[in-house]
Amino acid sequence: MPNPEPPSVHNIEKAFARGEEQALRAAYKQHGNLIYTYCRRTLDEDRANDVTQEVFISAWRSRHRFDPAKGTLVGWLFSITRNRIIDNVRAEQRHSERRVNLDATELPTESEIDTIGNKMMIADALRSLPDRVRQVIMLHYFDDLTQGQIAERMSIPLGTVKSILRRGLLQIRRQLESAHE
Amino acid sequence: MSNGHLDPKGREVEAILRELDQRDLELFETPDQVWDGIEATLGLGETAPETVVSLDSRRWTGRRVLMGLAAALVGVVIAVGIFLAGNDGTRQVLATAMLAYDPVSFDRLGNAASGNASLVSQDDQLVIEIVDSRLPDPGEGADLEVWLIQPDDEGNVADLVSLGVVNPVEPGVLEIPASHDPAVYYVVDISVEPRDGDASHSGRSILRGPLTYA
Repeated sequence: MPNPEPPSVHNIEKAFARGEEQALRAAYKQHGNLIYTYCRRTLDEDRANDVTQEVFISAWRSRHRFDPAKGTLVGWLFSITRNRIIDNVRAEQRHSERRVNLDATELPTESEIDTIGNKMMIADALRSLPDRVRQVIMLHYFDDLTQGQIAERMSIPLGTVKSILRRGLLQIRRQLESAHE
Repeated sequence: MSNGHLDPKGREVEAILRELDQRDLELFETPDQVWDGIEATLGLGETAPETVVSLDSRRWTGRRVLMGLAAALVGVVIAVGIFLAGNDGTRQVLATAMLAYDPVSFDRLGNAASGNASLVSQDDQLVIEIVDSRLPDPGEGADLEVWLIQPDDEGNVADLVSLGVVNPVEPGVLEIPASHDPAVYYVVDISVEPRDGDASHSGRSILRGPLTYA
């Protein structure tokens, strides 16, 4: 008999902390592409494959340290990924000193890794917003339209634009807060 | 989050939003070999999980497999008639369902959604009430729609019926067609439905749960 309850986010996180294998699979399905994309934007493809693999293996083996009450699973995975990427870059830098065919200046700095990570977490929060809220946020912040221009473009009242922007930004901030360890 | 010290309440969030472009919203697909390596290293011993697939463009027919519906299979097919016997026409809650989001197969719009459904007999009419709900705004050009699903023995969809569109803020009460017995159609589903003229299920479920009888 299958589990009568479809897994909620919280159920997955608790099951992960308890060591249920299905929760690892679910976490990989849900967050694998995000983690892998962080790696691909900071490392070459082969190393991105390796680091993504290491992140999930490491997270699973140290799952007793994950506390769902302190932050979300994706936030914890993201933190592990950042540290693994930095370790990997440092190792490459050490190797590059001994190899003439690798230019260490092509490797990202810690600051650049953090900047990419922060952008990805905000983009992840943005992706989870309803279509209309996301559209208004993108017009305002990506395309630099004023609230009045957005109202005209979308044929909605100015007050609605203001309300959507305020609500959307609040939702993004809440998601970032909940991810924080 | 990361140790990059991004303050969720600070102005940096807006500054980063201004730096983003469409490319930042796109994700790479993880190669299969990554999961294969995880599985081999940890000795999980089962097949690789399905690649995460967007449900946006999929449309379901009544017979199409509902991913995750297996989770809703539970032995609760109890004839509603048992409960209706002796009903004097007053309001009576016959069964309830805790609606849950499945991050593996559901639309991401539902990732913060929650709610319960009650099967109620009221004035000789069976209705579904959506209560204690926190439902998302489906966005412009879309609605939230409530369905009852009849699963088969393997957890696939045998049939489903739409109960209608609901307001996310006040979802209220939906009548169950007399032709559909909720003891058979016992899984409550809420989906995002684009206003595209297609009356079939969009495949974009946000919440689901089986009715369990008192």
